[in-house]
Amino acid sequence: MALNPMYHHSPQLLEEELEWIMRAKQDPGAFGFLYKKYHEQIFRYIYQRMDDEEQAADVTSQVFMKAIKNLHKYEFRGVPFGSWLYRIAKSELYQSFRDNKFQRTVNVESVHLTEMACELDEEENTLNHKNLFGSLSKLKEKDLQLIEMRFFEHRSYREIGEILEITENNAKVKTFRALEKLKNLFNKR
Amino acid sequence: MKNVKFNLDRPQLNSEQVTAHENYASVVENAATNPTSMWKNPWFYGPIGLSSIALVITLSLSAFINSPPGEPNKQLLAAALPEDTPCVLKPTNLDVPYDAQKFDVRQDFQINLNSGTSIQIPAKTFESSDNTATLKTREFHDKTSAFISGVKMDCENSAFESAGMIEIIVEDADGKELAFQNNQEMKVTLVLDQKDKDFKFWYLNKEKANWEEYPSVFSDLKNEVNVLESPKNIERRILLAEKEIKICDQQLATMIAPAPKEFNLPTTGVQKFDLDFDVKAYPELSKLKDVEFEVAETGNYDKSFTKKSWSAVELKKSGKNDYLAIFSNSNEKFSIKVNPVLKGNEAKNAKIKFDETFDNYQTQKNEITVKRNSLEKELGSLKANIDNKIRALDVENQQNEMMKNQTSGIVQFNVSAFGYFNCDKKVNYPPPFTREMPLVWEGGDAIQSDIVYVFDKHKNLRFNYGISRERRIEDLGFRNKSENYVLVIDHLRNIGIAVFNQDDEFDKLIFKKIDQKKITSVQLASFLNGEELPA
Repeated sequence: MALNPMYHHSPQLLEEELEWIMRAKQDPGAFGFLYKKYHEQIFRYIYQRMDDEEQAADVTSQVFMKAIKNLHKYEFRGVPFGSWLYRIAKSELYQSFRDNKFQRTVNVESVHLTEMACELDEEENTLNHKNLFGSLSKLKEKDLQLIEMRFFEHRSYREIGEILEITENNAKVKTFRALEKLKNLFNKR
Repeated sequence: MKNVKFNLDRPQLNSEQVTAHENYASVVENAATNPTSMWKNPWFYGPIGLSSIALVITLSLSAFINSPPGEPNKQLLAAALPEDTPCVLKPTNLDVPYDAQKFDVRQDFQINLNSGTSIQIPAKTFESSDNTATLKTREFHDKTSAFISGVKMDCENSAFESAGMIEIIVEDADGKELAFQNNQEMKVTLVLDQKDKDFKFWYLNKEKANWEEYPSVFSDLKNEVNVLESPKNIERRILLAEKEIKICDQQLATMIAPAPKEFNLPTTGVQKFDLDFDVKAYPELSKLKDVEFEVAETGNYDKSFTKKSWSAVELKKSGKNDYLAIFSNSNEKFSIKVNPVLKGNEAKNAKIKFDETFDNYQTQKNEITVKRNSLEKELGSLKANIDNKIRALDVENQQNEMMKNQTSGIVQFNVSAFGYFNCDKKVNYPPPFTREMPLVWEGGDAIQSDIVYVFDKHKNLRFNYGISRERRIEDLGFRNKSENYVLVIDHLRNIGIAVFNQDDEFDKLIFKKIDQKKITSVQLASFLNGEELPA
């Protein structure tokens, strides 16, 4: 999973984006720009948590459809519009998981495991993948989300905070605690 | 946490694969046709909710009755299509500055812009609290200015090749647009860069986000340019005015008002008497049918002379029209100056003639006086501002000469609403590439681009891809035998530039990345005009 290079906007870009949002509120046709801008990010966020590409595309469409319908409720809070879309995506995803429409999936790359081994004070070549995945599956969803976003999606604490509607510092603290829980689970096995 | 599936090293999707899942039209259609469930709305419950439901049912029935069967919510759908994106949207941080000119709304105002374009605003076209307004204009005569202004240059699925565009706004001191008063209009003469029969004139309807044909008159500039008089002519006008003033003065000095005496009119209150005289001896008096004489003495005289008995009376001519009456008898002799005057109806007719003559004299005198005053005023004005006028005329004459040489026409139109006015020719979009054409940065990274612009080197013409649903980036193609100056903007708002000839062999389009914050309009213009790429 590549880093999201466009998430952190300069004040100027935020202002430009807000202009688009204001236009889209008055004229839904103007939403096309925001769709083009954020489609890939949101799709990847969803696909990261799902197993099927087509289903991920469907959920992505659902997210943007809800965004268009609820745009009048959107309030600018000084963060990129994407954070609002991520929250809709998160809500859609977990509703689907609760309804058992799709299976919750965690996609991990080998390179991520190297980093996890370092965090868990394990040698990379001795890291027991089955043990790690078992430990991750024992985590509460909110803790798994933090581990996933920080270590498997390489998101900054600032971005994690904006998506979860918590402060950057709080995101850092919560991620640290989630990692501690993972360590405990991992070491118990 | 249960039932979590872990995938290790699942094959990654590239951007193209992700983009293939984009389906904006479907999203918009679903958004338009899937209303929010009413029961999710808190207003569903309670008296207010019931009222709302009743209202919704009423409106729904009304809409159902008025709509053709089987028609989806086209109005909402149409409004949501990306082709309705704002018609003025700057693609970069650059912009075209306005020229601003303050004027007095109570008086006629005319301005000649540097391009030669002129704008006339009649007095009282606008009203403002301080009686002033600011005319703001921007002209777009090249690819760069039209591009960075962000003005939509597509019309009905075609691109616009522009021969000149102008934006006109009039604001008050607070920057608020003023309203046109009493159906008044501004008159604009826009200088064009080129002209042929396919060019038409358009106004950008911002509400409809589309160009609409606009009434106008095209002309050949050479017939229209008024060559203003030279400074020498002004000096000549001063001399001429001075000469004419002298003539007026002479005319006034030589004008003599008609006198009642010339018409043999009697003077009220002056002593008169009848006198028989030999008509043959005074032929000049023979034409006066009914004549008497009145005393013409200015000093004291014996007024009783008419009551005395005289044995002889002699009438002697004294000067051109004056007479001397000499009365005599054995005891005395009495002489007095007299004038022959008409009496009765003859006097009335003579009075009418006199009045007419006097009126003519007075009218003529007034006309000369008015002309003299006007000349005096013009002379004062010419003398007072001759230096400024000479300088201004020099500039205007130079502009006119420049317009004659550099432009191929003008278009004249009236303005009763602010906005963009544009002279354009529609040009079809080129067919898309028949093969996949990735956009990549130098170095090989794929460009995650929202928008691609293709400029024709030799024309004021731009094709836009990615702005509207009609022209996606996948529809990109180049015109035959054209040099294509291509500009992309990626998700991070980086600008990429490259030049491609249609005949070149390429399987991907490679762009040089430029930081938008560092590029200037001059550099952009250099690139679009085929000069050296910005450093």
